[in-house]
Amino acid sequence: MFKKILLPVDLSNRHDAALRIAIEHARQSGGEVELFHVIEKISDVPIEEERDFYDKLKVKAEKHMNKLAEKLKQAEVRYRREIRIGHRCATIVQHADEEKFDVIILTAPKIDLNSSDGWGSLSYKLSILAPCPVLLVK
Amino acid sequence: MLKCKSILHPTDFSEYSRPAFEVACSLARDNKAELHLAHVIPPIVVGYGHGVVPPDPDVRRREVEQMLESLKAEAAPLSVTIHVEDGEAAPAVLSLADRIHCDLIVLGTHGRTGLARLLMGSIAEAIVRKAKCPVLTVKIPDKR
Repeated sequence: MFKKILLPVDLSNRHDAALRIAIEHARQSGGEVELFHVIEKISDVPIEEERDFYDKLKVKAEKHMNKLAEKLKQAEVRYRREIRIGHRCATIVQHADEEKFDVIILTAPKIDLNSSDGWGSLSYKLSILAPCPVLLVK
Repeated sequence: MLKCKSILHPTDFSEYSRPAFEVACSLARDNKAELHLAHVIPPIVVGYGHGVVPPDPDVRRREVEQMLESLKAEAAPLSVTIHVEDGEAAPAVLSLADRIHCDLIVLGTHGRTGLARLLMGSIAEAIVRKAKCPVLTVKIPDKR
């Protein structure tokens, strides 16, 4: 039922489960997965001032996304890649809204209920703020 | 392989739950999954005073069962099990999710109401954070 699937990724290797589920949904619906990476913008510093820094991060992100894209290719799922610079949460919410995605699939960190770590994570913020359904994969 | 054979949809019967119910039905249909519809009856809090009559829990339970049966009829021909739980909503839903070994919880949420939402507790937030299985949050579509 989800044809336009947004898969926000960082540069970690913890996206296997989310990617697997995205592939499964895309196969089921004949849909498309977009790998989306946001390079966090340094507050109050214009992007032009740190262009080299962002370019390096972009190259690194492209390499990482190529690995993920390879898995989509092998699974014969249509995909796109997109890299933006901005505030992670706001940029993903805005992109999902503008492009009318059907679902966002995210890896959710496991939370230690006895600790305060992870409670303000991106995935939980997105599950509240996103304009479309959000699937949190644990 | 996505294993999604048991889907839990907790509902409060509000307009916020409706889109989530529809998504849960679609996913159950696509995955040939068992759909579990649940409602949690919160503990009764009564301020005692002259003329105050506490609501009859059995009457409330029957009403809830009827409403769940009505949703079950809407979901036909899906395989649906209904659950009426008692207690605080989030722990009751999480406990039910464990008991039925559900693969996915489909939850309605109240949508975007500004950053203040991030600082406020809610049943959906508690379930999203503490659930052991994947959770799909579904908002009421924008009325723009």
